[in-house]
Amino acid sequence: MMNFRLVKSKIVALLAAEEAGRYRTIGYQHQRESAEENLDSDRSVQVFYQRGTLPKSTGGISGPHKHNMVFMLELTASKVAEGQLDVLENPASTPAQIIAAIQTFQAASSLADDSVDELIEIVYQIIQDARNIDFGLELEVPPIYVSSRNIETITKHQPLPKGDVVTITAAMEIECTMDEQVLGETGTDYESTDTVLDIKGDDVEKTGVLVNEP
Amino acid sequence: MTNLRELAEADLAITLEDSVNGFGLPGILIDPQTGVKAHTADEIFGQIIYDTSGVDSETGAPIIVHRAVFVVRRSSLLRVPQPGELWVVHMPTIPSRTAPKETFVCDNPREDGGSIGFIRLYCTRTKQATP
Repeated sequence: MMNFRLVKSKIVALLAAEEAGRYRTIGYQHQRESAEENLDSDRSVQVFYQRGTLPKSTGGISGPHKHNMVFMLELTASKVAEGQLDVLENPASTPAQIIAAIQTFQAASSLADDSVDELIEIVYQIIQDARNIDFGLELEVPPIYVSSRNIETITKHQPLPKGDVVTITAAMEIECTMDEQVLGETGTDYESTDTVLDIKGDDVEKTGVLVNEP
Repeated sequence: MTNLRELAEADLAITLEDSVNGFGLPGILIDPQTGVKAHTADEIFGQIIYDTSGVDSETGAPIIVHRAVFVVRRSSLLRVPQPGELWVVHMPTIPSRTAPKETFVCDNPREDGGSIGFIRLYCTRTKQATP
């Protein structure tokens, strides 16, 4: 398995292990979610490999190749307006109680904004924690190490306008570097060639170098 | 004699408010200033649309947004909702006159039906706040 797949599975496992009911981890690039679908679980984090660069190096054709890989975390939070619904739905409520309940209502967009900010903080602290510098790959046998792990960008998007459920998303890019080996897909049989350097007159295999012997 | 705009507004009594021959479904609007209904009748009838298309603000791609929109006749209201006010809207979310009403809030009324005499109320779902 190439290392970028290994890293992705470890990021998913790491985030899933740290959920503690605060969000839901989705280990693949999901189709666009409906706001209601996300509302039930409140917040979600989608993890997927987005892109990589493999600059040509002196490793030649057989590798290993340095792989600068970028993983995308898409964070989603959905909220509805919150307030004293019991007062609004109670026929016995007085006009004064209803006015007071309306005044304390919190707008869904404000709640969703706070919620996605909190999710950014949670995920950032998990990924950037020094104990997670190799995403747990250092526990493999033999241990595998990840270089230059860093969250490079965080982008928060505009809320979708006028939906009855307000959804705000953010994107986080994690960059890291590892070597990739070319393992071969199906394998190809080939004839090996054994080259022997045979220089005439060089009976002691000095490869053509004249040495003055005593 | 009435002109065509007056006639179009009068037609709202059928197209928008008639619950038998028109699109009318019953709702209740609560005025945040008075805490009571903003209509003289027990219920106000209007068109309730629940699924409309929208545009993803990031990508420009068309998407389906669950917009709960209550379209009501302005002349049936005691006071017209103003932008920035938080109105309470009780309305069904399925096309049935007898369906139970869910509670929404609206802070985003749109006057884009003003020339004919209706107003669109874009509503947000609600839930009970935890203390």
